[in-house]
Amino acid sequence: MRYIKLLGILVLFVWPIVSYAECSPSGYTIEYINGIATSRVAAEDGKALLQEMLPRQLDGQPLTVQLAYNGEHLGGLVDVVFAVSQALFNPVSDYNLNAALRDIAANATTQKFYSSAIRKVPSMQTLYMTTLRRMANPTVQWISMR
Amino acid sequence: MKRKFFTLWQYIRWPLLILCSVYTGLVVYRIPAVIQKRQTQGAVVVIHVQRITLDDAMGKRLPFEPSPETRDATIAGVDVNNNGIRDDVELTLFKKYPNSVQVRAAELQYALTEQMFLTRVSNTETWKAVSEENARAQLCIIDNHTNRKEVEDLVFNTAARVKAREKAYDFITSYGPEPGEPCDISNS
Repeated sequence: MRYIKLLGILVLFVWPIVSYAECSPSGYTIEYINGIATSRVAAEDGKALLQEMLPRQLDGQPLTVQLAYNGEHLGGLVDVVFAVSQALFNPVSDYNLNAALRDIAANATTQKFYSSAIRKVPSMQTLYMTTLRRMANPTVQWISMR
Repeated sequence: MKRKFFTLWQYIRWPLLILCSVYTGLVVYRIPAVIQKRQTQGAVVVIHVQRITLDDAMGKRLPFEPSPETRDATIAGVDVNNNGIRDDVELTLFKKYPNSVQVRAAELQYALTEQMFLTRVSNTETWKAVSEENARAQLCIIDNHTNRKEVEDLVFNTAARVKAREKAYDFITSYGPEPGEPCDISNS
């Protein structure tokens, strides 16, 4: 019985370490979040263009671009309402951002992230990091592009 | 004892029968979803496994020029040598880059993954798998300083194919490039 308890404790402590190890400390991930009312093909094209514009390596570490797809709702009408509310006062909803963050966390392969769209808004930055830490990896870092 | 068991059976038989029927119904209801899930898993593996070979890059299995009637008759087009790259696209790339194996290989790899948007996408999982391979091919294109747009123009050369690509993009989701070496054919 004592061994089973010990095994349980070991699993509890080792499991998170194994999970975090999936995200490499080497390498940078740039998150491309498409703007509202962007066609699906254009969203993908924007991500590809960003990858072409950026160097393939930063500080000798690989740099990759991921698409954090920002979906369209009711032909973009709902997205416009969200965007206006974000710009003027407290956002009506962070649904789109949360959905994108969930996807980013699921696809995370590195520990260093950057997203220009989120970087401009400190409250979103905090939410972004909290969500990433909770969902993917507690050691993720926020980086500033030079 | 026997009588007690009989009385108990009288009470539980109908609830038990209902539970068993509900369970059986749920199992039968889930069968198509499970079959589809397995088919998707298989399709995703096929997408990730399909790569261009050195023979493809060297043109050892080059197809004949498809006839004008058959070339654009279907969305998938003609692929006689069955390497995943449409014959008209493959031949055009060979004509354009007769002397550079690396550039040809990078563009053939990109053409292969772009063609998959027309032939392999049926749901979000397959779209994501194709996009991961496509992003890897994009990195190979960048590493070889060549042009992805010219390949896209060749693959999506008709209104029907452009529309089919947009339809495949209905399944768009967040993703990153497939890890590993960008190019199927090593630069060394």
